[in-house]
Amino acid sequence: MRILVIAEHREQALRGVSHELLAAARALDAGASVDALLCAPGPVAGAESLGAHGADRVLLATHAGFARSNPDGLTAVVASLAPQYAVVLFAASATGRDVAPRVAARLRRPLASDATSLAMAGDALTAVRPVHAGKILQTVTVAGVPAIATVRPGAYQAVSAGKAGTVERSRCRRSSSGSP
Amino acid sequence: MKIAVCLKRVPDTGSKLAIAADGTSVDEAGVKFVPNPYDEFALEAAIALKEAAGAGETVVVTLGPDAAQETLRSALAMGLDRAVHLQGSGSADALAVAQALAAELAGFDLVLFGKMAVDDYNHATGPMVAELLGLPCITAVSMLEVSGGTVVAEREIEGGVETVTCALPAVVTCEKGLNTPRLPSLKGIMAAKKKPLDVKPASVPAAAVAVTGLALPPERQAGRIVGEGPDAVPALIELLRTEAKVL
Repeated sequence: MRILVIAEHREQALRGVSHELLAAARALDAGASVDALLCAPGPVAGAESLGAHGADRVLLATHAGFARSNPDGLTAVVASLAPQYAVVLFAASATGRDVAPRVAARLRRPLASDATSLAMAGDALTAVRPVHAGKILQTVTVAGVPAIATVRPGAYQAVSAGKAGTVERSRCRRSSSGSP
Repeated sequence: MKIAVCLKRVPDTGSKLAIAADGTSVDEAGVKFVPNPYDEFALEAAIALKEAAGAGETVVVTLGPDAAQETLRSALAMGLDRAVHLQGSGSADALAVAQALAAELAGFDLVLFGKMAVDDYNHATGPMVAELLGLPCITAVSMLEVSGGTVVAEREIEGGVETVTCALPAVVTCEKGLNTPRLPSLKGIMAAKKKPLDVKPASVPAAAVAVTGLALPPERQAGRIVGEGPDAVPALIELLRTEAKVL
C-alpha cells in the first residue's frame, strides 16, 4: 500500500505534527511505502528527520509561492499526486483543515476528518473521530482510493523508525503564487 | 453585494446526548436544537457587511428537516433578508452536503459558513463548496473586511495569526472572535414572520462516508497528584505531554 503524508513547515522549519502523521501511516500499515510531501519555497530545516520517523521518501516541491500560506498551490500539488496513493493523510491543523476538503472535493472523494485513530478494514479506511464536543466517538468508513483523512494533532505520538529516507526535490512548474 | 450564509441546525452544545437504538445516530428525543454557534458568527458578519455597505442582499440557506425552518426564522429575526430551506436530511459525507448546497450558492459575491459544525466536527463543507464553485476560500477567520471587491481576513494558525487577501466572489468560514452575534429584537422577530422563506427539495448524493458506529468516550478519570513543589514539575510536564497530550 502507498501512503502520502502531507508534512507541514512554518517558515521552512518542519512542524512536529509531520512526525505524528508518519506514525499514523505506519500504524495503518507497517509495511506501506510512505511518502512525505513538503511544499516550500526552498529547503526545509528538519526535512531529513522525516525519514527517521517513517517516511521512505520525502518529496520536496519548491515554488516561491509557498513562502506564505498558499492553499490553492498546495491543493493543486496534492490533488495531482493523490491518485497514486491508497491513503492521503493531512494534519487536522490550520493548513490541513483548509486544504484537505479542497483536495477531496477536487477529486470528488469523501473526507474522513479530525480522526484520532485510523485503521484499514480491507480496502476501506476506518476513522474514529470525536464529535459533539467529544461527547460521542463516531466511527466512519470511507471506501475506495485515495482515502483522504485529517488526523488530530496529538492523537499519534511520533515514532523513530531508525532509518534514513531519501529527499527528492522537484520544482513546481505550475504557477501557484496566488494566495490564498 | 449579495451575501449567502449557510446555517446548520445542531443539538444544543449543553445537551446530554444518547446513542439511538440503531447504534449509528444520536437519539434526538428531547434534544434542543440551536443554530450552529460558528454559523452565528457568519450571520452577524453578513448583517454587519450589508449595514456597512448600505445596500445588498443577505440570504440564509440551510439543508435539513422541516424543523430547520425554525432555525431559519431565527436568522431572519437577527436581520437576514430571506431564507432558503433545502428540504432533506444531512449526511455524514461533507462532500455530499457541499454538492447539495453548491448549486444554491452560485452567483453570490460572498458565501459565509461557520468554520465547523459543532455536531459533526467536519470543518469541511465551506472549503468543499468553494472548490465545487471554483472560488477562493479563506477558512477560520477571526477578522474580516470587504471593500472594493477585495476580502482581507485574519486566520488563526498554530501560534500566530495570518493575514490573507483574495478577490470576490469568495467563500469565508468564520471562527470564534470574529464578532458578537446580535440577539433578535422583538421587532426583528415580528418582521421575520413576513420575510420570504423558499422551500425546495434538496438533492443530496449518496454518502460515501458511512457511519459504522457511535460510542461514548471513556469515563473521566479522577484527578491525580503527581507530587509537590518544584521537584514534581518535570514529571508533571512529562505526563501532560505523554498521557494528557496537551503540550
